[in-house]
Amino acid sequence: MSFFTADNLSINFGGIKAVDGVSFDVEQGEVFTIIGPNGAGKTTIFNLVSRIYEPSGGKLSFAGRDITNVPPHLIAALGIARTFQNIELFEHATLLQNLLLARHAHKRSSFWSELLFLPSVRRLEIEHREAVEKAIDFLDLQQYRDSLIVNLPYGVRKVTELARALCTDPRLLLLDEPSSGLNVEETEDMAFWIQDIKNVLGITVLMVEHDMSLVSAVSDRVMALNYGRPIATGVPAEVQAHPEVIRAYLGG
Amino acid sequence: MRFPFKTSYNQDIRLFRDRVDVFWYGLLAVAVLVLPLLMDEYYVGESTWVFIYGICGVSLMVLVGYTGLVSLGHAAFLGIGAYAHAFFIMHGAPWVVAVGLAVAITTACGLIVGLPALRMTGIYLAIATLAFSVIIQEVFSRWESVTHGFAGMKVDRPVIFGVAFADDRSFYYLCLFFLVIVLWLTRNLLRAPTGRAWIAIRDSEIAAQSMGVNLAIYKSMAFAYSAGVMGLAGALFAHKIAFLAPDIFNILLSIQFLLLVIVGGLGSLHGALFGAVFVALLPPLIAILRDSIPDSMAEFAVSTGITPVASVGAAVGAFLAKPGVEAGIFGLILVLVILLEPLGMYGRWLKIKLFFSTFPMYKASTFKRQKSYMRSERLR
Repeated sequence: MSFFTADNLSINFGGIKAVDGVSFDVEQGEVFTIIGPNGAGKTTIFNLVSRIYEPSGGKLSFAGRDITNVPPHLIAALGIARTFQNIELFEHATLLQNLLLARHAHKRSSFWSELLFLPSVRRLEIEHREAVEKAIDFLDLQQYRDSLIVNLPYGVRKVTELARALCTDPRLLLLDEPSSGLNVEETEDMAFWIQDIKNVLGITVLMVEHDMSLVSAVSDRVMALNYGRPIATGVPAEVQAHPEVIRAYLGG
Repeated sequence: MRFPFKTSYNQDIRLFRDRVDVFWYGLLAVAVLVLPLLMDEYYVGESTWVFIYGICGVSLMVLVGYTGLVSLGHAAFLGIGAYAHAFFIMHGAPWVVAVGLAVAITTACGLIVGLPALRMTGIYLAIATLAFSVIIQEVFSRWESVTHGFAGMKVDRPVIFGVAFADDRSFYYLCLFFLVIVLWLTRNLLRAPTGRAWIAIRDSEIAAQSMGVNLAIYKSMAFAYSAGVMGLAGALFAHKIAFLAPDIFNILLSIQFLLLVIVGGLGSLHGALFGAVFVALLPPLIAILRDSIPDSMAEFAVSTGITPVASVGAAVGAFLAKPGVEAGIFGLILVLVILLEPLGMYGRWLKIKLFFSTFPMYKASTFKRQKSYMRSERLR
């Protein structure tokens, strides 16, 4: 049994089959990338995996457990974290607060102890802070710790979202277009970080990406999608050369 | 400009940033403790409103400013707290028990009203809470066995463990005590995971959910906590106005609470207090101006010989005495604040503070914000 499996996953919006019987496996420790033209259903798959959308058919399983019916707020506690295509940070909070919120899945303090801020709450807060500082060091965000997100440039926000996802201690990381809106240099940094996340932290990565240089640099396997259906799966070079994929992108 | 040198994680957790903050808050504490001894009893009574409105402000700030849920029905929670408290006092419950029950009942009501909030946002939630407050007001006037309807309910000053808080000065300290407690509890929640979850819900529900926040639980929790605090304010409110009638807890009061948090500055406890000072002290200020302007202008006219000044003074006094002027001034200030200072009085306060701490290097553009980037609307 694979680490993560989507089996015959489908969802309809009205008459549109946004995702139509997609099956794929992600092995532990690999970077698996989904590519495809706009509207192919890539982000929809992410929203299905993080349980924001209810699938109209198919099954999802993660680490030997069926997660098709797990409510969305319990997904993080299982070890699946995600970033968003259009950055969904908490804009009027500081970077530190954003990252601390990512520790919510590991919250152990009760409402009453928080109301009185008992010493146990303080101890747990410091534990969370230590976990957050690891992510800050890993992604070089030290200088932005106390800045409000609204005051940060786009590139830093993108990295902050990655940091926030890492703070949940995930085993599977979903990255929705990590390079969108980044310049060439920032994209290269992102590629290094994704490799580090895989090699140093040992986190499995499921990624949606358009930038082919990033895709071929970091992916172990690629799945190409068109109109909600998979058209090719394999190593990056293989998929890029696949005639169906070329036709999907270039038309004809 | 001060840059606190951080050497421990505790520095980001504790209540006061550093010794300088402790000094200023200490000075403020001494001021509010000493002032009633120097002031006329009338002004002590008026200042007590600041604390009661302060508690109301904290209540609504948690809901509107931190969780991002709008309520147009908070006067109803105030009323439930006030009536419940008065009812239990009348039936011989000790003061502390009566307050505890009043808070418990309003908290429960908050939970129930919070349930539709799980599915509604923005204007729809505002309308739902408005409907709730209209219903509750009707209950106050009809449920005569408990509320005595329009005949009203007299509430005496509190007697706690045999100690009577009969005069305005002792009641001032009682209200101050409860405001400090509420501020402390709320601040504790806000620096803990619960408060962060509320902020997360305000800024992005979808991201909050993906980080493990159970939206249903934390939204109802915010509603319940906000209502509970309002219930406490209601108990003090009942003693303060001394006579409960159903028409006090109308929609205008709810709007006044909303005005309080917006003028004060959404998203900060300081804002709740600034707003409370504003809402509580503007009416007496208008009253003082109304009475003193004609006289002082007339005196000025006599002493300088410029007679038209006297008639201008009389006209201003007459204008301020007209019914509805107070509401008009409130409305005007609300419009001006939203247009000129969306961060409210707290935002203005931050700017003034920054101006002095960076003098002469202050730049007006420090607080300029770029409009936010595109967000994923499709998930709403």
